[in-house]
Amino acid sequence: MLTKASLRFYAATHVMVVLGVAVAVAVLAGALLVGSSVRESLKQIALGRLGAADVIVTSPTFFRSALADALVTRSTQPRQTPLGARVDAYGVLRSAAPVVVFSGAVVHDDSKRTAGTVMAYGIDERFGRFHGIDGFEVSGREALISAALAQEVGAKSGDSLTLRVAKPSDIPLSSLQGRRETTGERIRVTVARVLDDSALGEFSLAPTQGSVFAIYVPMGRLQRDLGLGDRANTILLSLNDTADVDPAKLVRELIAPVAALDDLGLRVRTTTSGATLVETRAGLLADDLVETLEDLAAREKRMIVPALTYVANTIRIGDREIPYSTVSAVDLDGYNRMVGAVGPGNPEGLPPPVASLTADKQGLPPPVASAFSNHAPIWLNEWAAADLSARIGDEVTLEYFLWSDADGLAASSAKFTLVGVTPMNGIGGDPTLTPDYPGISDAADMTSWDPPFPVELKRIRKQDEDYWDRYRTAPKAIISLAEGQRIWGSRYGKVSSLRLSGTGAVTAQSISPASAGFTARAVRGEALSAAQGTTDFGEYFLYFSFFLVVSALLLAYLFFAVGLEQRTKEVGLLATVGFAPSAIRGAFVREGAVLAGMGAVIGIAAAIGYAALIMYGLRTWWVGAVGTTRLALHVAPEWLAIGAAGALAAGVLAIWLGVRQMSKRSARSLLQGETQTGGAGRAGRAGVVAITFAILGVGLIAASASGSFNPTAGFFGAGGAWLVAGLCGASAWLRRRRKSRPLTRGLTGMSQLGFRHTAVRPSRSVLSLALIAFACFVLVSVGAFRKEPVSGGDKTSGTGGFTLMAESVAPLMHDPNTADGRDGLGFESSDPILANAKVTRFRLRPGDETSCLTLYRPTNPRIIAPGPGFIGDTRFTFASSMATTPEEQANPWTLLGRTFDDGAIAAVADQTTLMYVLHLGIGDDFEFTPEGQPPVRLRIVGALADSVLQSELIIGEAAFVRLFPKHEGYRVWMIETIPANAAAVTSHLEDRLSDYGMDVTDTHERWSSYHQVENTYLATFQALGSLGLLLGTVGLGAVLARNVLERRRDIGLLSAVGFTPANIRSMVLSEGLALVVGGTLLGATCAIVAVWPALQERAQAVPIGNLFGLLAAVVATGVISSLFAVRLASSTPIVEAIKGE
Amino acid sequence: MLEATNLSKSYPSPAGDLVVLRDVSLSLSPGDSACVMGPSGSGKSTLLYILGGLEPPTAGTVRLDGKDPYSFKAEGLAAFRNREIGFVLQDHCLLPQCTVLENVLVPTLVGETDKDAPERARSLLAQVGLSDRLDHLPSALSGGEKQRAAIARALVRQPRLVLCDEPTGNLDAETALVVADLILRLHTQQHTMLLVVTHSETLGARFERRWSMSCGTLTV
Repeated sequence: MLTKASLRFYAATHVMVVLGVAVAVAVLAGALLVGSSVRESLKQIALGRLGAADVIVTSPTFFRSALADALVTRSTQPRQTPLGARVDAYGVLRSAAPVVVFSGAVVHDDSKRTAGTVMAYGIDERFGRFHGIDGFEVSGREALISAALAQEVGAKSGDSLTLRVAKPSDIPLSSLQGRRETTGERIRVTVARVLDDSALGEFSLAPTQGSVFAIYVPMGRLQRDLGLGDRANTILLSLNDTADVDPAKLVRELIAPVAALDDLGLRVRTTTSGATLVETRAGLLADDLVETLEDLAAREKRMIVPALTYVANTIRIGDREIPYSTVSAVDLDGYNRMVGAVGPGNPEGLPPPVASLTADKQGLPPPVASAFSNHAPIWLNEWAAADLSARIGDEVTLEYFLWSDADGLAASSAKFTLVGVTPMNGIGGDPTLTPDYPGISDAADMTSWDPPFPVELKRIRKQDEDYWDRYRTAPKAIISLAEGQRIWGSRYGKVSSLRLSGTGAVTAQSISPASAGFTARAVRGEALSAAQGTTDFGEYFLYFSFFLVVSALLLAYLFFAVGLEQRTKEVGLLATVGFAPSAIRGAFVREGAVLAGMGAVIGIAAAIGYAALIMYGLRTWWVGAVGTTRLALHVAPEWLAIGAAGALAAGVLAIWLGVRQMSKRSARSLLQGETQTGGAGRAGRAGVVAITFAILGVGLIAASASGSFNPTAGFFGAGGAWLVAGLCGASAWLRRRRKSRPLTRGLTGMSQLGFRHTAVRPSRSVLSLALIAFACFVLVSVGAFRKEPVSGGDKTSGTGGFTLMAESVAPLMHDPNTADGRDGLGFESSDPILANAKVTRFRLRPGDETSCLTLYRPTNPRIIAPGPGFIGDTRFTFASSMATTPEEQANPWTLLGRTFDDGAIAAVADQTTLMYVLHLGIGDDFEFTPEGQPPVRLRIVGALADSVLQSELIIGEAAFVRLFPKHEGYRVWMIETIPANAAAVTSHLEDRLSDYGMDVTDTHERWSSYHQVENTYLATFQALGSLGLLLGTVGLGAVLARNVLERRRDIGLLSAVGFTPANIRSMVLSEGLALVVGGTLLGATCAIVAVWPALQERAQAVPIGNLFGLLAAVVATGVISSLFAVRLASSTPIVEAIKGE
Repeated sequence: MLEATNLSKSYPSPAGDLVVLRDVSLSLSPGDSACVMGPSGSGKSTLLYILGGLEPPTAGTVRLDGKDPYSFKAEGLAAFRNREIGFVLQDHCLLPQCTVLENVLVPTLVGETDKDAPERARSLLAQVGLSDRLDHLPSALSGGEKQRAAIARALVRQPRLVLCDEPTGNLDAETALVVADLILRLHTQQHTMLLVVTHSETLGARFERRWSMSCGTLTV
């Protein structure tokens, strides 16, 4: 009865309590809803973009597109077939489709507008069938493009586009035979249709929330233009059951049974001597593959002879030389045994194919008097020995080119000692030792050679042509395998062919597809995992809403407490008539619980509205941070319930605390309407708490400074502790006993009166102070991270002193800083524009974006490695590192050379990337599995302070070439030039290197784009702080208004004794200002302490102007709410005020 | 000298003008004291506020030492009140944030500078028996003590006219007696004009001049 009556009678006061709880529920549950909505949206975006694809199978070597058909055919066969039991893995396969996938750049032919990072898909009818979309086909020179791409380049149906992609090459570009001058290919297409999102317009195999630039071209066209034959590099798989997909098992059990050697990039042929010769289209067999074949030979008890054949520019003895010859490094004994054992014309294994070491038997001149030199042994074939008039023991010099990514093509040589002569009817005349080298082995004569290295055709003699006609690529010299591998081996392999004894079949089934680089990726699972997001929006919103929730609860408490103060006599009466304290508490808590419940119900509805508003903001106002307009509200009842329950409980607790406070007082004091209790006692307790928290803050800072505690957490904790200490200190100060002090006259006196009134209702004042301080704490701590545009940029700045950053689609193999390199890239050797720019080259392994531009969690990050010279330049600034030695501390980049016993690879990343995207610190590991490789563990050895390198992880070049041999050359250029030249360099590079798909960006623009994202996030959270400020303002206004109302008689008396309205206004305003300024100073100071480590790292970039602007805004809003009270004070007529009406 | 001539006061209301004072005239000379008695709602407080420059009459004039307070603008009227009039109200209206001494000094925060005010305030507080409560906040005082502090505050500016509105209305009989004694003693000492509005017969009996008020009409 009492509760019902009270609810009705005090409805006006209760409205504010209900609203306070409602705001708390709305903010808390809303923040949780935002988090779940972002996650759900990211999941839907990623899954929607995958179409029907669950798993993709890729290989660095192009394979037959028919492999996909074979998978489907096999999956439809009965479980038992004459060929053997069908493996279980096929049971889960629903369908498959081959695709040629490239990343490239697209240029609109008319407008020249360019889009980089375009995914190009070579498809045929199987693609549309796979996704269940009828008529999704493209033919001839047509192309289908995504709406985002169409918008980016301004294309519509019928427009002509040029697609630029990296030309695939089986032969490594960083090998002698690599064709480095034509790494890019341009393909002209006509737009047939612009695809909308529902028609695979956003098909993407990598999760990204941004716009998808996709272009579909006919697979046959792409294969033809790129010389791929009928090959593809990706198979899309759709599975019946996507749970517990084991990618490795899929490769092993799906691919292996139907793969052909060609799918693995291998060729097998039988030599005339009856051996089985295994070669690869790449020219070099990868070490893993060699091991696999050696294991196979061992299993089948077959002899195996590896060989490495190289092209020598010259074979020289003294002044006699032979130009352009192949030289094989081979284990002669093994070769002898194999040929001797199985040679068709040599059934008894005789005679040995290698000459004896005695000169006489070979009819060669005897050794010269100078005797044997001490070089590695070499054997010349009979033809070469005769041509060079060689003698056993002669010093033979091999001259050859070596390719180095750092220095380009360089002439090198090695000296050998002639130890024998090989017969032309044996190894000396065996052309099968040399794999197919395009431009050489297919040449009709030597003058027709077209290798990727310079050939002086005038050196070719008639006898050389005669040799070519008769023996083709038969090596003119043999050296030991070990020596050959030492001077010519590379990261791509150390064997160009393997011969196995016997003609037993070497099939793909005997070789693991994984060892040839076949990899399966469970893209659907990856998308689900990545959709968990780099940034848990719910968590962040929860962090930053915390103060908002607390503010709302304080507000609810404040209004409830004010309401209780109004009813002190009622409480006293209840006590007087025999209500026990618990009964009184119960009555009021029931009343409060009803209010909190009503607040929760309203809050739940408001939470949905609040979350919808935030999601709308993320799609519109803050789209710069999230990069997508596809985030939508998903109301998850469980999160709504959790948020509502949490805030409701906190609201009831706040009300209970208020009631408890009231019920502690004596009935007499309550009946007299006294509202404050135990001033001195409470002051003492508040003082003790204040001192305790102040000491805790000091301790945390001391611990942080000594390095025994994480500085970020330590300082933040200290800031928070001091905020509590400040509020408790204020409470103690306001409740202190004090002596009379002469009040001064005029404005100062009015201010003193106003300030002193804050002590009349210390609880209200402290709550108002807390509301303002909390809002200020959020606004300042968030605002301190705001990044202002930084001009200039020396080499220690976030741009590293680079003006431009360029990225190509195709690898660039030549160094533009040298005349030869410029020549190799197609520039003039003395190109005047490039000559005025210094280029630092980086290797690139494309991967997941790691900057704040992505919402998805990177699982396979983009990695770059600086080329020679960068490390010594000491560019950028490190925020922290693992440096221990003086050298490392002077230049933490040297840490990239550090090795770890556990095999981890040293890596550097931007601090923002580490903190907000990867959630890693110095010394932490990031593990991922590159395609076709075992897992790689990167150990963070350094964190760059606010740099332009946020989208990638950086590792040392040596580690890069070892880990990612397939990612050749340099695709990222960072260019140092004076800003005045930037435009010229940009257009020059984009024009002259257009075939490489070169895209140049201004480093400051790129840097600013990261800052913009961060600033947008901060703006989001500052908006929450502003809401908190709004609550604080409402609270302060309410407190001041309440105070004014309660002081109407005092104010009337002051008027009566001669105070002018201006005096009264000054007094009331001073009270408000005391709380606003006090709260602002407390909140701002504690916030600065909390974010001090971050401020120190950013030094000159602290947005002082912005922070002062924020503080001014806080003070201004406080003043506005005070003015409301002032107006209330001045609007009451004196007599009515005196009468208390 | 206080002279009120033909004072009338009415308030507009939906049922027509509500007349609170009707043609009231009175005068007081320095050293005079009088009380106005009458039932609640008779208009005695309104008369007090009009005489004190807090509420202008609808008709008639008020002159204190020949000056009409209502001829001043707001600032001048406030200064006039500060300088010439001391108020003691039923509700003491002590500022809760100020100590007893500070409360007494509150009127000296505005208006003319008065270097002697602090000393005078202490003296007044001594006279009202609050010497040992100078640094106490009002919340630590009893009702009688609060009213005594309010009397000291009313006199700190040495006003010509002291107006008291039910000064003992909230006090028990014993305390009311003490407060009445104080008011009259200080009035005598300071040679002020004193007008007290009350419905207390006990208090009224202490004044030589007792006027009664009924339905807005003053009977002298």
